[in-house]
Amino acid sequence: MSLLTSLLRMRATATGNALRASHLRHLHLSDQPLMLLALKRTGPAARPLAVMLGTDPYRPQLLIAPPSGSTTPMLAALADTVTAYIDACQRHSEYLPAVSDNKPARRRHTDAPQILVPNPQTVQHLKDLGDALRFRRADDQNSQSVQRLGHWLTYLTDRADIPGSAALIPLTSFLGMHWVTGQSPQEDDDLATLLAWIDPPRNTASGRDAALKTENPATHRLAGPATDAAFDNDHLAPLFDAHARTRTQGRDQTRTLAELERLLAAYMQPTWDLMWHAYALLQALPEATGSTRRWDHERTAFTDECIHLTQDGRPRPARDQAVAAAVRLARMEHAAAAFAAERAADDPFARAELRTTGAAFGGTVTVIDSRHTLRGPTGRPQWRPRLIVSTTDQLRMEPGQPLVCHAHRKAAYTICDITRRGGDTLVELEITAGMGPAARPNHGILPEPGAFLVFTIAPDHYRMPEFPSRDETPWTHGGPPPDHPDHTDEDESDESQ
Amino acid sequence: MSSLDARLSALRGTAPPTPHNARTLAALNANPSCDRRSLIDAAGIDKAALAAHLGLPQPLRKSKLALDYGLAFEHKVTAQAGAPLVPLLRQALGLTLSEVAYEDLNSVGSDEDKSPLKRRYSRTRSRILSAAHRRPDLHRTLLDHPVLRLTVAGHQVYLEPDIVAFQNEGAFYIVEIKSFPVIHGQPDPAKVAAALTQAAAYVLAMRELLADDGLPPERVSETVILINPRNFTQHPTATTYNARQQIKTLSRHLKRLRRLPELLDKLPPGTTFDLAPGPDKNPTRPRGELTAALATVQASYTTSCRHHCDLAFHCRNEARHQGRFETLGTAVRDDLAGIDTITTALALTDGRLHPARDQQDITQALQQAQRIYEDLQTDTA
Repeated sequence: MSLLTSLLRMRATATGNALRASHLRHLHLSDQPLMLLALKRTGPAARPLAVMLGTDPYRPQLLIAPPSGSTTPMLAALADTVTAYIDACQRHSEYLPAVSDNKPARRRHTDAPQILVPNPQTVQHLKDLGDALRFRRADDQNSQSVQRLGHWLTYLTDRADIPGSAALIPLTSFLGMHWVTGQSPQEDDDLATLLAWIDPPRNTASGRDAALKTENPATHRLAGPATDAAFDNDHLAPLFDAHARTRTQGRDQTRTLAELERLLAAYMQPTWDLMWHAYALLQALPEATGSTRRWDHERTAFTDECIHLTQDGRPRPARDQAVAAAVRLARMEHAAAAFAAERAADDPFARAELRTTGAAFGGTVTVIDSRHTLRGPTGRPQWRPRLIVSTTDQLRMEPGQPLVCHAHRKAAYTICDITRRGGDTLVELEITAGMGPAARPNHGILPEPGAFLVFTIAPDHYRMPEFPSRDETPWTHGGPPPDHPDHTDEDESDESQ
Repeated sequence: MSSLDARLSALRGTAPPTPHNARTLAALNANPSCDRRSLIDAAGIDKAALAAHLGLPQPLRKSKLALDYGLAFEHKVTAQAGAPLVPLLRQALGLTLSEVAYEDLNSVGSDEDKSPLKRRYSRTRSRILSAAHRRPDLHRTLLDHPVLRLTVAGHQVYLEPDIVAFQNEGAFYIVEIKSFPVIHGQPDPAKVAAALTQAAAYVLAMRELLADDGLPPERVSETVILINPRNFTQHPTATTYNARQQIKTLSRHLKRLRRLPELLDKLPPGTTFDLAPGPDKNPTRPRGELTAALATVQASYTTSCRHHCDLAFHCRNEARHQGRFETLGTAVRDDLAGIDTITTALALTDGRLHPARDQQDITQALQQAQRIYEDLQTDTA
């Protein structure tokens, strides 16, 4: 968090209303996302209680796991819906011509799945569920689709760890990118209070009052995956007991199951509506240009996963081996750096944040030396125009620092000199890229005198580090002896909970 | 009854005391600087009842389903005289022998017994001491549901660890049965930390027991064993942890509790947190009076209080009224170190207040942030 968001949090506390942070949406938002609200059973690691899902706000599908016995039929129904949604994304593909020898021509799906969940805890729950399901034996139709569901959940939750990915998005984090509330980030994890701050109902004086009202223990409910203790004690436990009684007495269980369904439907409906409310708020935001590229990337990743599933299909191991883990980490770092750089280029708010952290400065162009040239190593003159920017920002940079500017995306700059004069700082910059050769100079690169520009620290040039192949990996890091069995728990993933 | 006890029970009022337990001791570790919590816990006041009377959300209410599940897992582990447990401990502790004596101390004392905890404690004590005094290589004992006693601020507090294991090299181990899962070898780190802090209380209590009898307290190992369900099953798995850090911190905080008389001295005379239950057991104390009484003791609210304190929402509302940074999370608090309230910070930002010498840097940074934000609104950036 930057000092700017800290300041906005304080202002929001003082006024009682949330403040807009970024005005641009940095994640692609599908026209037909799969909204998914999951509840887990209190106690067991990953036993679902209920899932409400669908692409239509008015007709959600509600799936209920029975209080005791196998959850496989319920999971199979969930698998059917999720797989149908994912399959629909594979229907069309586009042709991408070869770019280079490394990138041959290939096809890419024109769509990718997007699942929206209320909060980061649900992502964790789905990850656990994926871990539990993807190693299941696929003996019959039902368990096959459940195993496939486990595979997709693992893929999606894995994508959710990657900055800038839009495959599985927790709505509270998404809203948090655009609004700053007057409560703590921990409290922002609660969808109901977060939305109360952001978009209070008409009859409340402020977001703060609305949030306080939302917290009323009589009406407040968690947005999953955990259920409130009060709900467990007052509603679920008696119903579970009743169900157990009918079970032992060999009586018909349909009545208690129908009652459970009614209870959970009523419990989940308000959160379901809030999720669509959040979706509507987010959809109204203009999309940043960089999000298209990231969505392209998302579709590539999705296409690759589809190919992996049809050609190989082995589940991801329970724990990555050393090289795979290092590759994953490198990918995440790369994605984080690229996401940060693209946000800085697209979004004035991101640049403002960088200015308060010292990773950027903004100022007015006062002098342009368009004639400045250098002698290159071969003795040919090189055109290197210089500018002087006057800024009042606290500068924490040294000469030699490479910079980029959002207004001239192709250009690169280096700080030549920094002089402090009174409260202002004069920064002399040299344009080092994007100006064209001396013979055919690109004058468009030069800013207007008096223009206000923000310069941010240029992102490091990224090269994926080289990792050893499996044969060259020492056994301490998961290399040969080959075909070391993974510790899957197939024999244990029974329904004995 | 000591005068300290009298003063504490005056704070509590008519309700019977709710003694400290491993959970409240663990909470002490989480927020040791909170005077309000120290005092209320020392007086044995039911915080949940306070919160309920004040109409606050109760984030700590226990789910019956969670309790049932935990109990079922514990029964599974300790079934058949600890049969599933022995191989796990043998592996975790390197027990070499196959025979292990198992004793459940839960059944001691009849239902009519007014102080079963006391009875179970003396039984536990004699078992442990006899095991400790005899030749160590002959006695390998598992004590299920023992009761230990720890002195907290001059009071005897009874604690119930799940199991105490006695190993053949003369060391005692605390074994805790917890129902959160270890998935692919990875448990939830926050839950492990909480479990270890509770275990630290047991280690300290056990050491106290040995030390009282002139035995070296180091015979209680700082290695703690957690038994959890493995992956998505109910099959138990044992993991050993070193709880040295937790033991050290907890004993330090317990020492700090000696300053209770000082805290009591600061209270205005006649202060009480009594709920004044009427004939129908419902509290009759006016809420305003109760909040005023609470306000006489300094709280130290943090956003994580809701994970271990029933009064978290009360303290949060109070902190909000005072404009404290703690309500906005640690990041904001750290960003604005050196300034006391949100009102002051905003006044400094807007130039309505002149910064003190040590506030100049942060004021300048805030004003710059404000200027940048204004640039943003006018679209020049």
